[in-house]
Amino acid sequence: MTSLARALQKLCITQPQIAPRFIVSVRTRIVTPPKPEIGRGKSFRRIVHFPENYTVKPLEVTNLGGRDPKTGRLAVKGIGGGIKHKYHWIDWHRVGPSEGPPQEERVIQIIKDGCRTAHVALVAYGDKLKYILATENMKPGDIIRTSSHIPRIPVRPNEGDAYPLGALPIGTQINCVEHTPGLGGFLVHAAGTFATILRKVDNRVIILTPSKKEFSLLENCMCTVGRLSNVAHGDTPIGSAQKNRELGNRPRSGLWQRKTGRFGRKIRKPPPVKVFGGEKPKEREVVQLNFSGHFGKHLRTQFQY
Amino acid sequence: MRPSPHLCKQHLGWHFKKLWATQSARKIRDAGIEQKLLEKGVPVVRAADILWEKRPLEKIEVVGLKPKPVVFDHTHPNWHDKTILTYRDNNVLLKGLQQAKILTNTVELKQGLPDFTLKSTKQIDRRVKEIILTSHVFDAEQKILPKVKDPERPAWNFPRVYGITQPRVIKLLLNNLLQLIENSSDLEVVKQRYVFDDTHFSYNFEKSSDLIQFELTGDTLLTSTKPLPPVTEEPTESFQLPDIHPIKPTITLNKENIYEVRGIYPISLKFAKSHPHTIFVPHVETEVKNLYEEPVTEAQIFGRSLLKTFTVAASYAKEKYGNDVTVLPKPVVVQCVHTNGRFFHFGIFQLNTLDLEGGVKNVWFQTGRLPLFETCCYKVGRPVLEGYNNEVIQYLDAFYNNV
Repeated sequence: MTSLARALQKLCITQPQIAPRFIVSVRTRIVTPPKPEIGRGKSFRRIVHFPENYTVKPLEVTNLGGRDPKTGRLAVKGIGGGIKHKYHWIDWHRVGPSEGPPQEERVIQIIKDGCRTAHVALVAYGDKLKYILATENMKPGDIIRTSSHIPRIPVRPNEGDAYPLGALPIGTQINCVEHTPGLGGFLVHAAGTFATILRKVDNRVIILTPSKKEFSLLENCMCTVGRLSNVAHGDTPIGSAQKNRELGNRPRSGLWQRKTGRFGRKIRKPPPVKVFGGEKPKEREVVQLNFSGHFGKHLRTQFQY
Repeated sequence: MRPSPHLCKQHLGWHFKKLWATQSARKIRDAGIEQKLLEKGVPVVRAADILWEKRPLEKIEVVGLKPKPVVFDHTHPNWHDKTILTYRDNNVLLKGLQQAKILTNTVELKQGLPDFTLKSTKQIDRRVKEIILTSHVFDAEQKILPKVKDPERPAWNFPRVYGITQPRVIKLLLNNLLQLIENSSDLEVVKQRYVFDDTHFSYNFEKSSDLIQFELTGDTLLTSTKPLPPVTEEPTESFQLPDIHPIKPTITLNKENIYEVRGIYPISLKFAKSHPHTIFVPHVETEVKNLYEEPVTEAQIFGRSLLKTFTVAASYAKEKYGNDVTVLPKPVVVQCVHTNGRFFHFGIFQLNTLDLEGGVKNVWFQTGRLPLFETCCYKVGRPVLEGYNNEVIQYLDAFYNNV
């Protein structure tokens, strides 16, 4: 026992040896081919070259042709070509004073944007210019108001104004709705679409989105009142194959692809109201391990016995 | 049936390789240990930071390579913390004429120019038609012109057109028209005039605690031995400036931190013919653009000519009367001809005061945009000029002879 104690006493903590890093040959290294992340809300149509600061100058765009920018592999078939349109950087944040009269802005011009179905409005206030999504009856010269105050009695809003969800009466048609306060207009961007305020519960407001899903959002999420512009877009057929190519859609297979059982109308009970603003699970840290060896044909070659 | 050994044979290595593709990315579950240790004050360090030596990259200053490019940030010699708002040749104001009036404290007393005697002769009209054809069609320059786009057929690429570039068209047109007017005017008047090309003007001022600078480069200036007499003596205090609420009048002026504040009037006042008479402003459509790339409106063009004329008048007044003058002892009058080769816009500016926040206001008169002709091009191989308008040369002549 004492010899053990004496032996342990002789132990000391030294500075660990810094392991030198060797350059390993990558010829035999296991390199897994990267795969594009499909189905995560990311589109593979174009990349916009955003500058550091917000600007009203139309931005340069690189078309991807369905390729994943990280891996270079084809992620989505049927995208490619088409007329290249410059991107108008929309300012999704409608910021208004939380007390006092609402912030007033003037609509200068309504612009057709090639990168989206809805029209874009150029808006000026003070000495700043910005783009927002234009609502149905917006025209140059209109004044639109923004306020982030939630009064006791709901406001009677005009089209194009931006208010928090809690400030608007039930039944209002809205667009560019934030799902988290401060995020910027996230839901409902397509031409002619709108969400409807269904009911208010505690400090939450339940809205019906264009896909008939119900979302429960916090009442201080901002939204714009009205229906989005270019309402006739949904009823306009594309017209010809050439027009579809101009839109950036490559030819499709003529083969009927709907014989599997997953197609067709579903009769289900409506899904429960999706609650936003709850606790988000923390992203777990991912550590990429490397194996610089060689996987053998059978266990004998792997462990050499 | 007894399975033969070959059926059980699998390449384990390939199975492991495929599995490794997903299994090598290990998601680490957070047991909350790090947080608990940090709460207790125990320092937590990543193993990689200790085991692997961090070698910082040594920056080596190599002598003899080409000099570093100039960086446009706070290290630039002309950097100022206070932002300046500038107006140069190629901007246009968002709200056009209305905004320009607020910025320069100007009012329009009436629509159109003050009464002028306009005269024209057939001979002059014939000469002008020749000049239009010379500058738009007959010149030898063959440069590639901007692409022609039809908004209704966005995918269609028109064949590229070669011809005379717009800056050259404007230059030729103005030079030839001025020469024609000089030849057909009274010698005594012509002796008083002088034409300066490529003039630079700069005028800076403070308005509501914003520092603003207007700069003009490369315009043609017609000067005279005597300054133009004031157009109107009417008091201007009662007239209201336009209201563009909620927009501030400084919108679409460039914000810069790297600048040089300059007041330039290009001609020394010791020279006999130094009094500004008329400024000829070219409107080159490929260069004069909105930041948001929408077409330039008529109001924006009118605002541009007002601001240019103001810059000329104000820089002259500052040179003549000094820096501290507010209401001028004698108003400065400058005429303006703004053209894009086809449309002409005439204006007269009377600078009554350099105090741009005061009650006394400056005065602006202008015509609309007058077309010089409808079309001037080759049609079926022949040069054709259609829709000639003789008003333009009459105004130009009247402007030149205005004493």
